[in-house]
Amino acid sequence: MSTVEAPVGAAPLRLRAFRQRRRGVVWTRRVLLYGAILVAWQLLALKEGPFFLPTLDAIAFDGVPAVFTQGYAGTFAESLQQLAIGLVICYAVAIPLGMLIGLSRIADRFVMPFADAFFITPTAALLPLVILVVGTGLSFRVFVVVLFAFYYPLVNTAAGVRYNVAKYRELSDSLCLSGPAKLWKIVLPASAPYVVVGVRLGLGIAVQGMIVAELWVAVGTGSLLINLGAQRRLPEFFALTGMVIVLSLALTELVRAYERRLFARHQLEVRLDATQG
Amino acid sequence: MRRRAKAVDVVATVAAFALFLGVWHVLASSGSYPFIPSISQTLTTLVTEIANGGLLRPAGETLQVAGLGLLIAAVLGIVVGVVTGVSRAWSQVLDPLVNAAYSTPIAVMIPILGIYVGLELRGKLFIVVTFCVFVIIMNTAAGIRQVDPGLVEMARSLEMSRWKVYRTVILPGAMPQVLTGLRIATGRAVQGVLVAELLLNVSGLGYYLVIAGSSFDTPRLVAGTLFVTLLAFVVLFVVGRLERRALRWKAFEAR
Repeated sequence: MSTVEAPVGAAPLRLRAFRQRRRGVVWTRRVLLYGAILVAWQLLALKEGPFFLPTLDAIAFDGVPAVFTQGYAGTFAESLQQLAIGLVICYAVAIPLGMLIGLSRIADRFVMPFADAFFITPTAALLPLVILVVGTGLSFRVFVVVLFAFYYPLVNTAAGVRYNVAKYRELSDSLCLSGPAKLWKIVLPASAPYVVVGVRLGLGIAVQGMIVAELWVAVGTGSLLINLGAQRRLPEFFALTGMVIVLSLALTELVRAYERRLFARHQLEVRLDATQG
Repeated sequence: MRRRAKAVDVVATVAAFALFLGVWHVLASSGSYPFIPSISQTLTTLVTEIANGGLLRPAGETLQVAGLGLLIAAVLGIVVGVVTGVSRAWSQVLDPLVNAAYSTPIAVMIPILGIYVGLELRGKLFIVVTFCVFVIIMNTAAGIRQVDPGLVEMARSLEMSRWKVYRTVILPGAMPQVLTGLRIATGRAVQGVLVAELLLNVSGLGYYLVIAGSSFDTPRLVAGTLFVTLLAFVVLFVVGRLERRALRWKAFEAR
């Protein structure tokens, strides 16, 4: 009996065409809305004058080159160094402490009331006190970055370890693994996605911390922003601000992309375990 | 077994607080750290400042700005959140903007905010609103998207009007997420108002802390910081209770 079969791959092709069409519609809408925002900006800037809002071409052709030729980029790089030092200290303390909290109920009850109290305290309110303790130098800015970012890697790591200890208890018992082996081979790799989420959340907040600290003591990028704003050198101000925002988003997206890969691998491993089991 | 675990919890928490107070006492009485006031001095200052209104007056000012900003952010955030939650087209267009704005360090705009919104109330409100509106938008949209489509289908099959479907199915279904967003936004509003009061226009509790810090009046500074923590705790506690109360029907449904 002969049957007429649909060509292999016809359905996926139609689906792909449909998806491409839909993506095209989405991007058309986005371009229209974002374009409308930029046009509105340009018209407002032309109407109100450069003392109120710089035109987009002034930001692109005056502001952006000035960032690189007048040493702003160097100052920004120094701010990033402080950010990096703060983040390294923050992660180096928060992640192991989070693991300890996840593993030990006593450590949890010992540390978490302080961590929670610290979390609900608006971090900006601590700045006058921090200045008295560590001064206004590099240590202040690094300390503020740590303060802003600390809670997220701590809590996420603790949650991940706590969840995976409970989840893989039977597996590690059946493999007769010792405590450290259980931790090293099962719990920590399984908790990695949680840690990375904490790292990402901390990163976003840390950039905010870096800016707040520098605005407070008027140094580095914060001082530049204050001066450019006060002198109404708005094209340069917006170019520098754009750089800070783009960097903040790029760093966060970079970690988010890694996080997605990690989660996808994690889910694949779970599926493989299920099919093999 | 559970009673023993609970006892261990209590002992660990009490020991942690005892250790904290002990370290504070040792550091304050050693004389090597003149910026650390003694516990008794701090508590006396805290009680006196609360009693004479030195802390409550600025706190009232701070909470007023935070509350007004939160109200504006809630109206704006819920409207935009409902639109992006219901409409796929709007969600695809607005979501990247909302996510980017949420991750943006708003503080970078402080040096020029005065040009656009002034340094007074409008400037502070702008910071508070931008601190909390995006988290409300994201939570509202997520809440709307997770409403059971079966319930919506059932409501439509009962020939309910579109408005009635929203009022009786979609909005109540999204309520837990919306309220969670509002609770998180409340914390962010307190954060935002303090950033504004310290960096934009020194006023309210920000003024209290700046004056105490710049005059090296450490008992007032530490008492003020403790008061801010207590205030944030009380605000979040009250909002949490309101949230639980508003969602009593959900807990009943779950049971």
